[in-house]
Amino acid sequence: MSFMRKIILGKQEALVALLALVLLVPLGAGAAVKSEECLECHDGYKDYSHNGVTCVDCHSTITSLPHAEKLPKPACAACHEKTVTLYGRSIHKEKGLDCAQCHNVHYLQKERKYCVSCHGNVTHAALPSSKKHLKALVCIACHGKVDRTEIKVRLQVKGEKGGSDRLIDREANNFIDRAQWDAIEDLLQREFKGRYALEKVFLAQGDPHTVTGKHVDCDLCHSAGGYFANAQLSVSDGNAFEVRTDPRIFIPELPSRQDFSKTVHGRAGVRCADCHLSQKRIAEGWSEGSKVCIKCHRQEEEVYSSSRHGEMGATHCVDCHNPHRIRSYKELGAKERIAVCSRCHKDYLRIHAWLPNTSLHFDYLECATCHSPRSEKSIVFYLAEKTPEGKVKLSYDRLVALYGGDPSTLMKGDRGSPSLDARIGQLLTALTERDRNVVIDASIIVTKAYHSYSETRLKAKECVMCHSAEARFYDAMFFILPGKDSTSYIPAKGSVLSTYPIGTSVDFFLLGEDKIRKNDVYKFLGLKGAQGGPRSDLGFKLIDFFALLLVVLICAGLAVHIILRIVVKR
Amino acid sequence: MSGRTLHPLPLRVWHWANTALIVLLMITGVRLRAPGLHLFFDYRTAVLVHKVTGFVMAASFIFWLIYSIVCGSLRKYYVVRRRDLVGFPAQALYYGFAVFRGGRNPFPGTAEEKFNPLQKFAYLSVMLVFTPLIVVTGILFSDILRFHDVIAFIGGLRILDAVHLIAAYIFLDYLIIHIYMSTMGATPLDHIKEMITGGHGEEPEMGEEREAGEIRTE
Repeated sequence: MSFMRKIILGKQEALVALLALVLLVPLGAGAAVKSEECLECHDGYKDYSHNGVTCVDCHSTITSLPHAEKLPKPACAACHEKTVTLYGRSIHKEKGLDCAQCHNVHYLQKERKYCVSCHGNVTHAALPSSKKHLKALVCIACHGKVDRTEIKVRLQVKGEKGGSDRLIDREANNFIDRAQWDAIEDLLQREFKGRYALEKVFLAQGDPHTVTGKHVDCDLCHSAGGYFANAQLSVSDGNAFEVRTDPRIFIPELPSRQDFSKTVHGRAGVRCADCHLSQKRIAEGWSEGSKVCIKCHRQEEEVYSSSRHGEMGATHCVDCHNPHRIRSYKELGAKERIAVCSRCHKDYLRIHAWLPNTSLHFDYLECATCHSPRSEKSIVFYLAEKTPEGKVKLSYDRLVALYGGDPSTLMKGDRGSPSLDARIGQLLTALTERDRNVVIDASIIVTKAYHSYSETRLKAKECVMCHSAEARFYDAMFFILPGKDSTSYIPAKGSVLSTYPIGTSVDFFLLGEDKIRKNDVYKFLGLKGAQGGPRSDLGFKLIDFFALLLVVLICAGLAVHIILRIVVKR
Repeated sequence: MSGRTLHPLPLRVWHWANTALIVLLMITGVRLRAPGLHLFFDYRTAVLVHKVTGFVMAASFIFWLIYSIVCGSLRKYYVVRRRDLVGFPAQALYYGFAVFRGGRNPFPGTAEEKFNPLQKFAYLSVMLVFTPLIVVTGILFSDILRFHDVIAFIGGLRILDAVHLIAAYIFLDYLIIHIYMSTMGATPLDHIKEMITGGHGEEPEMGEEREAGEIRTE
C-alpha cells in the first residue's frame, strides 16, 4: 500500500512513475495483492485460517488496492467445485442455506458447525432403536450419500492369551459365519465373562454436503446387498489378528420393504415402527409380543392366550406368524399351513399313525382342520400343476402366462354367465391346452380361523366325522383363484362336485359327497321342499338312485312272477 | 342215492363261502356307503372287515377260476355258442310265459350243457366280468397311495368308486334274481338243498320243470 502511495503522491517522480507504470503494469497485473496488505485494514481477520489460501484467492475481484467498496461474494466453487456441485443437490441448498451457514470461512477450525448445531432437538421417535442408531451412526449415514461402509468389531480379551485365531476361526478360512460367531459369544459368556470387551463400530462415511431431505430406507443397511457388505473382527488377546466376518451377524437382516409391501401388513399400511416399539425382540417376552400384536389382533389374542398353547407359554404370535412375510392365511395351501405347525410338531406323521392313509390325509388337510373345532372349514378347489416333485399350486403369474391373461373376469362371472362348474371347465380346458399337467386339486382347510388349536374332538377317532354327508365342510365350498394382489375365494355350490372337471378328474374323495341324504331323495323325486339346484346336481349319487330303482323294479317283477306261480300253482 | 353228484363238494364249499363273503361285503359296503346307517359294525370295523373280506373274495375268485379251468368246466359251460344266442329269446319267453302254462324248458340242463342261454349270460357276466371288476377296483381302493398312478389313469377315485359301486349293485341285482331262481326247482327249496347235499342224478326227473339256477352236473 505504501509503495503505491509513494508512486501516486511523489510529483517529482511522476514521469518515472508513469514510465514505470507503462513498463511494469503488464508485468504486475498477475501479481496478487498479498494477504498482509489486506490485513493492514482488515486487522480483525489477523487470525484467519483457511488452509493457507490468501484473501484474494477468494476475493478474486481485488486486483489492486484500494478495492471497490462492494465486492461480489466469493465463489467457493472456484476451489470446491465438486463439493459445491454436490451441495447444490442437497436439502440445505434447496432451503437457501449457503456455505457460510455452516462454515466460518475465515476461521475454519473455529465455530465449526455440526449437524446438531442446528438439529439439536431431533428426537427420531419414529426410528426403531433410535438411541442405538444415533450412537452408532453419523447423520449422513441415513441422510446423505454414503461412499464407504464397514463394520469394525474389536474384541479384547483381558489378561488372556488363549483365543488364538484357530479358536476364533475354527475352519481357518479367514471368515466367521453366524454359527462360529454364536460359538464365540458362547465361549466369551462361559469362560471370559467380565474379562472381555466387545466394541462394534459402524463406519458409514459420506460427504456431508450430500445431505438429503429424505432418509434412506431401513433395508439399505438391513438387507443383503446394501450398505455394510464387510465386517472385520479385530481380536487382541495377545495374538492380535483380523478376520473377515459375516456382516449380517451385526446388522439383523430385515425383510425388504418391497417384499413387506406385498404382505398383509404391508398392504394394510402397517409401518415398521408401528410394531417395533423398541429394539427388544418381539418374541422375547410374551407380554411384550402380545402388546404389539393386540393393537390390531385383540380378539385372536384373547382366544389364543386362553388356549393350551397360550397358557403354557410355549408359543407367541410370532412363533407361528412371521409378521414380515405374513400372507393372508387364505393364500396359504394346506401344506404351507402344516409347515407352520410342524416347526414344533415335527412328529405329526408318527403321532397320526392311527389315521388310515396318514400321509394322504396330510396331503389334503391342515392341522387345524381337526385341531380347531371351532374354526370354519371348507372344501377348497384350486389349480395345480403336476411336477416330478408332486402337485404345485398354480401361482398368479403362471396362471396368467398359461391362460394368456387374467382369468378373473371369466371366473367371477355375472348374472347370466354359465354355472361355476362350467366356467371352471372352460378355464381348465384352456389351461390344459397349453400344459397338460394342469389339474384341479382340493383340500379341506380353515376358511375362518378361531385361534384355539389345542382342542380336538377326535378322541373317538371316528372316520365318519369327516367321511359323511353330514360333515360341515360340505356346506361351504370355494374355488380359489389367485389374483394379482390377493386370492379370491369364489363360493362353489351345487353340481360342482359331480360334474366336469372336479367331479371326474380330481383326486379328491371324501365319501360324503356321494352319500344320499333326505334332501337328495326329495330332489330326485321332484318333491316339494327339496333344496338346492336341479336333479343333475346329484351327480354320482344318481348311480345309487337308478340302481336302487332297478332293484325295486326287479323285486316288483319277481313279486308278479311269484304271484303268477302261486296262481297257476307251479 | 347212487349216481352223479350235481354239485361237486369243492364247488359247494366255494359257493357257500362265497355267499358268506358277498353278504358280509354287502353289509359292510352299505355301512361304508351310508355312514349314517349303523348296520352291525362301527365304521372303522366295517372298513377293516370290508377290506379283509374283499381280499378273501379275491382269493375265492382265483380258486374258482383255477378250479374251473383245471376241471374244464369253464370251457365246457361258459363259452358262448351259436345255440345260446339263438335260444336266448326262447329261454326268456319260457320264464316269462311258458313256465306258467307248464311249457317245457327249451334248454334243460345236461351234463354237456349245464346252463341255459340266460344262465350262461348271467354267470358269464358275473363271474368273468363283474367279479374281476369289483375285485380289481376293490384292490385299487385298498391302497390308494400305492395304486395312485393307476387310479389317476382311470380318471380318479370318483370314477373308480363309480365302477366299484355299479358292479356292487349288479351283484345285488344278480343275488336277488339268483335266490329267486333257486326256488324254481321241483319244490322251492329243491335247488338249495341240492347245493347243500350235492344233489343226485336220480332226483325226480323234472327236466321240463327245471329252471334257471338249476345245476345238473357231475
